[in-house]
Amino acid sequence: MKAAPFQYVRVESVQEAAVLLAERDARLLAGGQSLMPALALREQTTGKLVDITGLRELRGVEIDEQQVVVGAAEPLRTLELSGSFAAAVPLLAQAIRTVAAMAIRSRCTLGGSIAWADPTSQLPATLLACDADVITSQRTVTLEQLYATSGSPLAPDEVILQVRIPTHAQARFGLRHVRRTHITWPVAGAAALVDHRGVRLGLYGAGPRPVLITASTAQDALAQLPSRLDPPSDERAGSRYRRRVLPVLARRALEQTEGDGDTTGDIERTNR
Amino acid sequence: MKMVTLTVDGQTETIVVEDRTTLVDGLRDHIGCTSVNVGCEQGICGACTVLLDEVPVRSCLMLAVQAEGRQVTTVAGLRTLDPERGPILQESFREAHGLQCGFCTPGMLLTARSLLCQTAEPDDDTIRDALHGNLCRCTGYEQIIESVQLAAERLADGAGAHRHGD
Repeated sequence: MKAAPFQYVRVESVQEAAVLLAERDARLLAGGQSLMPALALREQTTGKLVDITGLRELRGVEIDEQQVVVGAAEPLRTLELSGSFAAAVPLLAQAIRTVAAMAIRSRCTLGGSIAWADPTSQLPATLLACDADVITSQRTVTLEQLYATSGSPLAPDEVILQVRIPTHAQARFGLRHVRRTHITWPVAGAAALVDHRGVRLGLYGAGPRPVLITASTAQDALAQLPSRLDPPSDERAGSRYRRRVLPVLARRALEQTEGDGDTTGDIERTNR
Repeated sequence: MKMVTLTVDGQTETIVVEDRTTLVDGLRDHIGCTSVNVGCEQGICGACTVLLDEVPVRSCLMLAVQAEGRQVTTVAGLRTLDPERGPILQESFREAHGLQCGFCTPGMLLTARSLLCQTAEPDDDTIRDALHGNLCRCTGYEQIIESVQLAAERLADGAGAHRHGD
């Protein structure tokens, strides 16, 4: 199906984008790998698409010993192909490699993924586990704060500029999910990061928002888990299935952090 | 309406399209590149894969106007873009029966070319991981995997010196 007619504007600056986005019925276009299908299926419509992908200020990756700063419109492909990115934030790098397909990761962006905020996507939940900060045209917030409100996480004229992720090169990590196909979002999953400060567990497919559980030990995290679940029912799975599978995935992701160093094996063994 | 100038398989093209026209519709309906197939129009099937500045993209998930000033390669331009890998990939797909109806083949070839640029000698899992975004309803995929393996072997053997058949 074809998208309903809209006007397309390629902006020259974030300020210009913000002005246009303040108008009624305008949408920001980042990588477009979720928005374009939604428009084509006419699940969503827009009067105006504001394309920020050409803005240099929203590109680039800076890595130092403390943090990784990623331009909000930098394609995932850049991150995937960077050895220093994988060394600095290995859990996030692994999650990125599981997103859809090569020809989608070449356009998909971290900023777009955060703004789209699909609760079943592996990226927002993994970024929560990684304690990422989001720098927008209006504020700097933790991703946890950004997702604390219901409804749209961003103001209509707010543009994500950068995503800042503390490095976790020394931490142990695990990632497990189930999915029906690689192209659509997973059914449910868990991203675990464990270091001397404790456990951070990001869950997807677990509620209307990605869920973050912090605890001092893996047992504490798993004990908290059932009370934190409010999983959705959709065409990929029912709420009951997600409620049953999430504790298993979380346990396996946490076991992965402890043990055999098998961090590169199948993420979803049950699915192969 | 927007006027867009882009390079397609080495040729400069200027087209006038609606703002909402996707790149695949621009390529097929305005430029006549019918090697780019339209499958699902929602990013699932990979039949519309093209290279944008040598990077594989879904041409149904971007707008024609976003290709302004960019270099697009379809499967028709693959041999010219990459005289080393292009012909060997195409011949390997034919010899290892990597296609039946051929609808997915342009996307498969362009994606496989990107894989072989990144990883010269990919193992089975790496090939599957690279190609899982391209659906094929005929082959059951095994022959496609074998085709890519064959191409990789031939490239490693010295740019097709051991070509057989023909």
